[in-house]
Amino acid sequence: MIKNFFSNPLFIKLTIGFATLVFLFVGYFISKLLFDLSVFSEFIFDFFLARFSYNLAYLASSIIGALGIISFVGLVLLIGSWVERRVIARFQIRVGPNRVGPFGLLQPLADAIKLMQKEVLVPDIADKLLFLIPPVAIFLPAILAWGPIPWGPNMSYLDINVGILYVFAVSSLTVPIIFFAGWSSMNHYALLGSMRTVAMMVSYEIPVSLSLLSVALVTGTLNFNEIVMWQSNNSIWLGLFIPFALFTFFFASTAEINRTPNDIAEAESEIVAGYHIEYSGMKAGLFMAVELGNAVLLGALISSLFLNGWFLFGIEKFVPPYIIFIAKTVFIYLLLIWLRATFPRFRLDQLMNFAWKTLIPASIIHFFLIAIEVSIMSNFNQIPYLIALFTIVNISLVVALAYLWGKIFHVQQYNAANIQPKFATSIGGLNAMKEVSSID
Amino acid sequence: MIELNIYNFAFLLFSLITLLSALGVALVNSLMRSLFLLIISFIGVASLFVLLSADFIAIAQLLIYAGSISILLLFAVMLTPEISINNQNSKYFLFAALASILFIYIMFLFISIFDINQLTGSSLDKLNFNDTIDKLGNLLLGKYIIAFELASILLLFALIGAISIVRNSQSDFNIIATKIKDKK
Repeated sequence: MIKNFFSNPLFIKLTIGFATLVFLFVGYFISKLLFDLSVFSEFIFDFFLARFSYNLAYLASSIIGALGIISFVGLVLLIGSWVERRVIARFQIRVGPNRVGPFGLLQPLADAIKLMQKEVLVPDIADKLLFLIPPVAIFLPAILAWGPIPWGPNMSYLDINVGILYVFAVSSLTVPIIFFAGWSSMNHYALLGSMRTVAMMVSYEIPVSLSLLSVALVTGTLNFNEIVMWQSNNSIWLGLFIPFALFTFFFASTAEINRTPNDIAEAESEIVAGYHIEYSGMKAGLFMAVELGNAVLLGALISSLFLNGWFLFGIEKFVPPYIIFIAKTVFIYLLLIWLRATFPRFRLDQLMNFAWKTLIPASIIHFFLIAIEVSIMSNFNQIPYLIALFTIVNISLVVALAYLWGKIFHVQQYNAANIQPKFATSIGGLNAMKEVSSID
Repeated sequence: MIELNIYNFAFLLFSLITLLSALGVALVNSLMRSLFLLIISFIGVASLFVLLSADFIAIAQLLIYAGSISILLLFAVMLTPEISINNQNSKYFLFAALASILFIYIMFLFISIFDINQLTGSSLDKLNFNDTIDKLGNLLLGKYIIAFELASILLLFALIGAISIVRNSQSDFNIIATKIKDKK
């Protein structure tokens, strides 16, 4: 009787509606209360300054800020793997992890406990010191690069004038760490995997730096906050103004952080697992966690550099700006998951050819184009009209380039009849999908 | 004597990291381990630049030395045969020791001239300059433009020279291909 009452669909709908109302009501007050999180660090700064010295106040408030960033990254590492597996499962019409906890939410915790219980095997001939350092050291660049990210107005941890360069320099420290991980394993597959990862990362650093250079050229600064403010002052997203730089940055960064379609570091069919083949248990888990954290970091970088950071058509006055920023970050992360569910992996030679023969020359030419546009903009006064004009020019250039690319490589034109999922419907794939959602 | 404020404490810490890892580079037997220590030493130097509030130089140190030169050295070490065999002591141990003692003596002469409290971050903090990247850019593309362009041309020559030395001609490829065919 009671069971029937609780499983009544009307009751469930009413409960969900009521919960949504309560959530919105509470969320409104919480967002009023927590509109600007920098108030807390300022309060702690003043508190310590009044009682102790300036140095201690500075240290305390900086530790509070760092803890905030680290707790966000930790939350991402906890939930991220669950999100990724569930979303990919939806793409592939299957269920995904749904047994541990409600909706399988405790699955990452179970995974972590399982990984920690596993025995840590160290190869006998491995260089022990260099073998044990990389899984820990690879976390340093992944967390340090979160420093200059602008979460909101007055809410960036490292408001330095060399922000872009800092992120680029810190993330380039990953390369030697990956190499040491591969070399010290004393395994042919690990060494080969690390060598090709290093080669790929080194060659894709050039397009990344060229695209960031065009961002710096347009905005005239390397500071993340000022880049975001430039976009809101000129009411244009840089992703629209320089779409080719956005594409270059996105594609080359997927190679930098080993995400599909460029994850040749762990090409199982060619080299067994890449540079982390000899790592077992939690040490392999740390490498996986860093890959996940880097994907979210890429989302944060793109949303602050190209998607106007914490601004969203005036909504930032009502919603806390950092919520908008995190929403954009999560959007880019979901885009990365979509790419992973859709695309196959490139081959190594295809990837290197694309970097050196196509992407680098194209981005150098694009850089010169942007330089010409910026010099025109600095010599005339009608900057809003010029920005609109150049936006149209740049977007049409990218569309024309994509069209030419398809022509040259004979990409099959879009045909709805070819793409319709006949196979899935005939076998009952969509009905199967309904059953999938009813299992939860 | 050094006064103990937070700048001098950080200076001592970072210079200790830099010097100890630099000593390890010379003393450790395994080439790969000494390379790892060299990267740590580069990072220590970068953090010393941060203490001097030279933000651009610090980032450039991190980017060029710790990120790029180390990769170059990695590939150089990979191309040297017998890296796994321990390095033996040099024949020129005595000369090297004498030269390094002389160098340390000269360095001490220079260091003893300056007052260390005037050279650390606390005294630079009073000057209150927070932005070096604008000034550096203006100087490099204004007053020192010829030196800047000459350096870039030199680097271009080095790049082209390296490629032309390394590049195999097409005939070499043909010879290798015929050799492989003969083996089969």
